[in-house]
Amino acid sequence: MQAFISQLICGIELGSIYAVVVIGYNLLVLVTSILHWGYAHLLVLSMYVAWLVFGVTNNSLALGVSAAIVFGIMASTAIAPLFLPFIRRGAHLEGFVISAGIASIIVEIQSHWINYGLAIAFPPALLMGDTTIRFGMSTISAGRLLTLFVSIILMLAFFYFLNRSKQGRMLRAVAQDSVVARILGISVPKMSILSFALSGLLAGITAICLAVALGTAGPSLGDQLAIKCLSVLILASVGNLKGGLVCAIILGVLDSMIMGYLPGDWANTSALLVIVGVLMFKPEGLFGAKN
Amino acid sequence: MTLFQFYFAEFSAIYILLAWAVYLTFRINQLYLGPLYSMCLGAYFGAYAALNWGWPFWLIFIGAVGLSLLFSLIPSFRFARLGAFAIVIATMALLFMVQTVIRNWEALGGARGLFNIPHIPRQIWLGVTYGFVLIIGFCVYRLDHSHIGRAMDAVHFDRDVAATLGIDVSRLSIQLQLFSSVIGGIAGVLYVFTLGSVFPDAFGFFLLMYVITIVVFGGMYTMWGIIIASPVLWGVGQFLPAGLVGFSVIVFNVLLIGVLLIRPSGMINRKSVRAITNGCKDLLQRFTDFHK
Amino acid sequence: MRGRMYKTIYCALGVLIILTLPINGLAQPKPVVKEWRIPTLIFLSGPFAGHGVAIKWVIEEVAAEINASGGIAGKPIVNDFMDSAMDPTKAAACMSRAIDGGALCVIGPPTELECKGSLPLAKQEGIFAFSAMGTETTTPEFAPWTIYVGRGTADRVKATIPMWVGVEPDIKMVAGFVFTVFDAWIREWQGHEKTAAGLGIKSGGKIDVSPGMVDYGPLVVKALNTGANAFILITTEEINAKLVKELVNRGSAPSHIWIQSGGMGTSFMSQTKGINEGIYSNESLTYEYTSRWAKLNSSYAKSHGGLPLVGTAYAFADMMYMIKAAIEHEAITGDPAKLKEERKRISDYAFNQKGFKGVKFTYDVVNGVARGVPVPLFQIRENKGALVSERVP
Repeated sequence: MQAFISQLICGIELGSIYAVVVIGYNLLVLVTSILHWGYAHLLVLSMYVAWLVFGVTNNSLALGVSAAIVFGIMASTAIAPLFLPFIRRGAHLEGFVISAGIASIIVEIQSHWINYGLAIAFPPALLMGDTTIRFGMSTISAGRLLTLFVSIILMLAFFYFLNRSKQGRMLRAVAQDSVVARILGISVPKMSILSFALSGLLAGITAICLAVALGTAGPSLGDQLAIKCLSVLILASVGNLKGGLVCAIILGVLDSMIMGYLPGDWANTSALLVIVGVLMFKPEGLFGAKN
Repeated sequence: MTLFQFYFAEFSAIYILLAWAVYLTFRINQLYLGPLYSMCLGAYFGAYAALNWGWPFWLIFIGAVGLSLLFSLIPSFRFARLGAFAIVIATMALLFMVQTVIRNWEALGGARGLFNIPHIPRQIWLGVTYGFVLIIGFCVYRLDHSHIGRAMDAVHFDRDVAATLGIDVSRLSIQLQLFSSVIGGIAGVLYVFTLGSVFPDAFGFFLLMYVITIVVFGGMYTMWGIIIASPVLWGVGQFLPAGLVGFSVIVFNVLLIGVLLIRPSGMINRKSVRAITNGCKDLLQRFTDFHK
Repeated sequence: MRGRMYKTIYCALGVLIILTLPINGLAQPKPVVKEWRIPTLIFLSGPFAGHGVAIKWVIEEVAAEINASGGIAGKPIVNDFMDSAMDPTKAAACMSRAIDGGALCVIGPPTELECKGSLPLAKQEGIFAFSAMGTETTTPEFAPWTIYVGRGTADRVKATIPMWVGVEPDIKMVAGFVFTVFDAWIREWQGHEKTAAGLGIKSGGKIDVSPGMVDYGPLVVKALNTGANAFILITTEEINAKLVKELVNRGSAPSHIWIQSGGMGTSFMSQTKGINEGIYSNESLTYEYTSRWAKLNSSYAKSHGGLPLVGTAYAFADMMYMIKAAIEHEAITGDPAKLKEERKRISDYAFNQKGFKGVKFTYDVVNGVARGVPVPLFQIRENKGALVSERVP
């Protein structure tokens, strides 16, 4: 029983990591209809930038956090024009392939030129790394709790932004029907770039969360996060913010339970098979609307 | 013919086949990766049959085709209804499942794999490979230019409109997925006899992304771009100058992004195919008129 | 009628020209006259490029050293680096290029995946691949065209647990985290389990670790749940770091954790700084095995911000020296007319050797596998590995 509770807690912590990353994906997919594979990689690169700044400024938290956020916004906005022709034409697959290309380039940058290609470790004193509540086999780390907390806050913040603010309503208009939005005078390219900039901001914030939650990052982290988040998105129904959060936690718990109770080799596969099972009965995703 | 030319030609051919397989189902908006796990099945079947039963390679091809059909039949009934990205996850799941089963099955070599697969003389094998490329290319061409091809265009444009026009979308989807898997199975057998060994980790996520890249880079609406895209993308890593060794991935991706920005529907699209064929016809006409 | 005939002829000519275009002007074998050009297959791109680049550095450093002291039989050695990118098909293509270029032998490829893809070709064509670390369980499949000089698993499983339990007598039950991609590592765990059973230590079983997970907490909980109070980690560096963090956070003593050399490296040490005090391993990045190794290590550290070399790099330095010994001992001429015969002679020399003085260890090579490499037990003290005891098989 104690093991089960531990696994459950592990699962929720794992799910919170997925949840905080999935928000950025959902935002981009909502507005631009492009599944931006490279978002997770951009996020990890922001973590690297924070690490570099920590190293140079003697672990100044404020500078590191701001560096990550500024870099996230700038990098994301800089990449945005590459996607505009595809957003305009509704070319989803080409956009996806371009984002995969960008992701690969980011991985190469990390594995060739930063820290000699080795994984980076964040200074433990800086993170809340040592604050863990332990009872029996279970641990709840402050860092992971923070991640869960932040993902809920971010989700609520975006809900508010999308529903209450003018820019948010314009974004939703573009998401629903870009042709009509254009007729109404909303500039679709501007909205697309805005959504990229926002996702960059999210990437920066998430980078700090993950730095606290994971403590380390490597060139292969981007791919690992991207695959998991793709699974979450498909399970939830692409573009659904609330569904994304819930399904991230579900997938985290699922991964945890499978790792904990089935022979480890089947971990990756089983999670995917469960998702496939769900899709067989509900092809539009758990939170999707039937077409 | 040098060894490198042989391997270059072989792998280009195998990737062309895989890309055609993915291209077919992509035409009806399904990113079906069944050819990949069929490739794995075909490769293992080929290795096992050659090592343990001593089957000749023509019999192995027939067996691989049968195996691919068997394993794709039941999933295809349910996959017919899935959306584009959902199918990616579903087929990826099946691929990982096949990998995990093989990894735990000692008779198939487990995590180690199978080796010492009988060697087939290179000229014959190249002939067989390109024979298949021609046959399958011919089939894909005929499919594209038949009423089925027009039905695929209609479904690509709008699934519901196509249904109202009397096109049985589910049946079309199943047929294309099965054909796609068969091509994958054949590619698997070609792969295993070219490389001489097979192991579960050869068919992973990287292969998946690479095949999608070839399809998109070459041009997703016509089969001809893939013939050029496959050797070009494969060749990027092999023909780099000595100073850039290690930067092949960056060069590859910069090339990919560059080409897609300049020609968003891929290197060769239908307009270019028409332009090229008309241009060739004109050129030939001028030559023959000159000789009259 | 005539028009059609000419149309067909021109069509055919056009197709023929297009088809033969790639065949013109590609690599022709060049006779090795003024220098020894050795194709070297390493992964230089992809997420693990850092390790590949470190191995390249060692090879270049050793090449400079050999050339500075007169080269091999008076001629310099030059490494033609090729990127095998951890992809079996790319590795096979690189191997084919190497063979076409008339190479006497090749160095690499360094990982199991690449070896499985390219060594069937090497065996087929009869060229020796100094692959160093990639073929532990598959050496017999490619004999006599490959070599494995890593530490012998068989020796390691006999010696490790007895030494470990000797210094940590309160180990009662041991569980193993095993990365399932490498067959050699699965067999290693089975060996450790057997040795432990022989000493009366119970086994908590094997915990399979698959790649690609962001977090491994659930596996650690599973392992703790078996009742084991000691853990053997046979996975990659990054996964080891995550496992160690979880284990220590959940109450495990670092001294009851043993890490196999494949997962001990700079990355691991920096990621577990502060919590790795007391962990045991059979590898230490800072231990001065020999003065030659210390020299290489300090040279690397000077140009790489103080980082030590990756643990497997020594094997490639050994490969370079082996090639030197083979060429000089067998009086290889590099004459293209004798290529096949000289490739065989290099293979015969390298596949069985006695008393090779490597950069870290001195060992014999028996049927392509190193024998007699000592099995050490290191413990991490103040973020450095200190030697606790050693067994020479």
